[in-house]
Amino acid sequence: MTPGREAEVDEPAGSLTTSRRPRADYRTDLVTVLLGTWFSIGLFLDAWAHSNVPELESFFTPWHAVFYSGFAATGAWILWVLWRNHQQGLRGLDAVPVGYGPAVVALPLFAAAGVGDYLWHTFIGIEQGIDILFSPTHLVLITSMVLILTAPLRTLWSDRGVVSPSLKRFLPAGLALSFTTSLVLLFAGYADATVFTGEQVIRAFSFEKGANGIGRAAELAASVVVTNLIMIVPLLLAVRRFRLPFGAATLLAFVVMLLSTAVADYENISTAIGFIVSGVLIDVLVLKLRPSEDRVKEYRIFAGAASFATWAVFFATAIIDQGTTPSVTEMWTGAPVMAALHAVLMAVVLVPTARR
Amino acid sequence: MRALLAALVLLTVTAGPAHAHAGGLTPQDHLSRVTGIAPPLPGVTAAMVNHGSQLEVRNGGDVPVTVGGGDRAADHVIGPGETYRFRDERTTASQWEVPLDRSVIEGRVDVTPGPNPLWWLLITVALAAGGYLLGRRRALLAAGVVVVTAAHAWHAVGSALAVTGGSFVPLLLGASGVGLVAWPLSAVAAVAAVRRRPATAFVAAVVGAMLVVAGIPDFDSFRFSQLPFAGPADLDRLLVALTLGGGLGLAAGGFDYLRRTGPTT
Repeated sequence: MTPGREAEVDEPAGSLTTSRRPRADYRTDLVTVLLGTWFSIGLFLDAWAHSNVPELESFFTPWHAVFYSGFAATGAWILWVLWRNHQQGLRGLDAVPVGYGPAVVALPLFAAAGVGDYLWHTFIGIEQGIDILFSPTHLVLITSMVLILTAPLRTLWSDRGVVSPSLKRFLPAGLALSFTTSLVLLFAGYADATVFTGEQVIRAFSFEKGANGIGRAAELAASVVVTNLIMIVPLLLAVRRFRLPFGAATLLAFVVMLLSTAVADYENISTAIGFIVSGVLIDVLVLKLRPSEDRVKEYRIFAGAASFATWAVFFATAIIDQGTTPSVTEMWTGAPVMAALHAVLMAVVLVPTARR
Repeated sequence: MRALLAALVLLTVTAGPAHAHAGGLTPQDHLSRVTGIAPPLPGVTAAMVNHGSQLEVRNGGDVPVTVGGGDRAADHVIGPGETYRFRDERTTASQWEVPLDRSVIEGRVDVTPGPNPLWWLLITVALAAGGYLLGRRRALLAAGVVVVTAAHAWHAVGSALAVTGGSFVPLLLGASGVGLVAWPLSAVAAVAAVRRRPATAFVAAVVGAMLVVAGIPDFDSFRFSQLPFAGPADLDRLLVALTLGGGLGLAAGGFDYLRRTGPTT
């Protein structure tokens, strides 16, 4: 069977793996990830409200309602999947599809953290700054949310028969990967380069050389490092396991930008467009280089080229948007090279040597 | 089934925030009220709104009036036909005054002891037992789900209506929380019961668990006297007891029905 043909073969619903546990079928994963989309959008609406609604006084906001109802819908769906398997005669852990175990554990964990968050907001207050990213209850919520959202990714990952999925076949896993990346980036909001506007990028890297005050230059430089790693590592992991379909990297960029623009109150549109263009370029790199564990040289070239392209486009977009370059040439020409070096380092760490 | 039960029970007992009173208003034993404007200003009225947290001044007269004074950073001029709503720390004192032009708005804070929460907890337990007994028959489970969901929806609507100065729909959305999912699922349970589907008990159990999750933050309604609800406080307490107790009973009864009837294949 060729990899291309493998892509078109879905596991039948409830098919058994080597253990008695079933693997969720395509539609089950798709529903899970679509409900996860509701769940994720609720979180980003809430993040937008925390950042942009002054005097947010209540825990009981419409944004929280979208978030928690998204959780309820996702939780109800996963329970339905368990019940359906039980109806088919599977008992105990055997009723939990492969890859869904962490999500089943995370459901009550999320609910408990939700209670904790309610109590925290009631007795300690509602965070409206960087503290929102460090609140212990928020960190438990986000961790359990990632465990729930990544169930479709684990389903596909565990299916050794799928090597080269079509974009349709990859969609639930791809959306899961994209939302997870977005959530991780959201919680690194203090070093998120995607929320910079073109004007802020130009201004940050325009400063007097040798002067003590470098303004936001250090913030943007650090943000490029952090954002680059958060966005490239999921891709490096995915191309190790799968031969990604064309469009997978664009999907990741699109979802991350859809959510980052909301957090930035839709002021970073030109930057977001730049990242989506980079996604298309990365898809072309995947197509041409076919990076994988077995093709280590191409894997490392892919890592470096993908990151270089992302940040070269990032600065090019800002320059086109503002009609001028940042005054410190070393900064905007060096940042993409630095990002590429970090990505190559990650590639070396993830795949130290070719599989023999 | 054990995995399903474990997930359901954990969801129920750990609960989660999703519902309470709208607009951030919380039950309490004290309530600030306006007693009058001295001397009266023609056409001008004042009242404490939003559960005594904000002072509302309506200028129905022909000339602007200035409210504030004292240690406030700036006075606010209220034009003819305008309404001004604001928080003022002074209104939390047992007897208070807020300057209004050449007059003052006078008010006081009334403190009323709350009810004995034990009685309401007993009612909740009784409703939970009643909800559990509904698990004997599929149709009864569906009817119970509809009743408990209606109680939850009524509580959400009543708490949204208690807020002055906000749009109703966002307030209801905020107060509904997981109701956005539980309410439609309640209709699914009813339809499944009519069609005699085995899913009825499963949906009833999930809706019950969700409504317990929704009702947990409302426990305070049992121990405070002043509730931010557009209606009698005891009615709100009954709705909360129905949501919590009924939801718990339905979750247990629904699961028990599933356990007794077993797989259909």
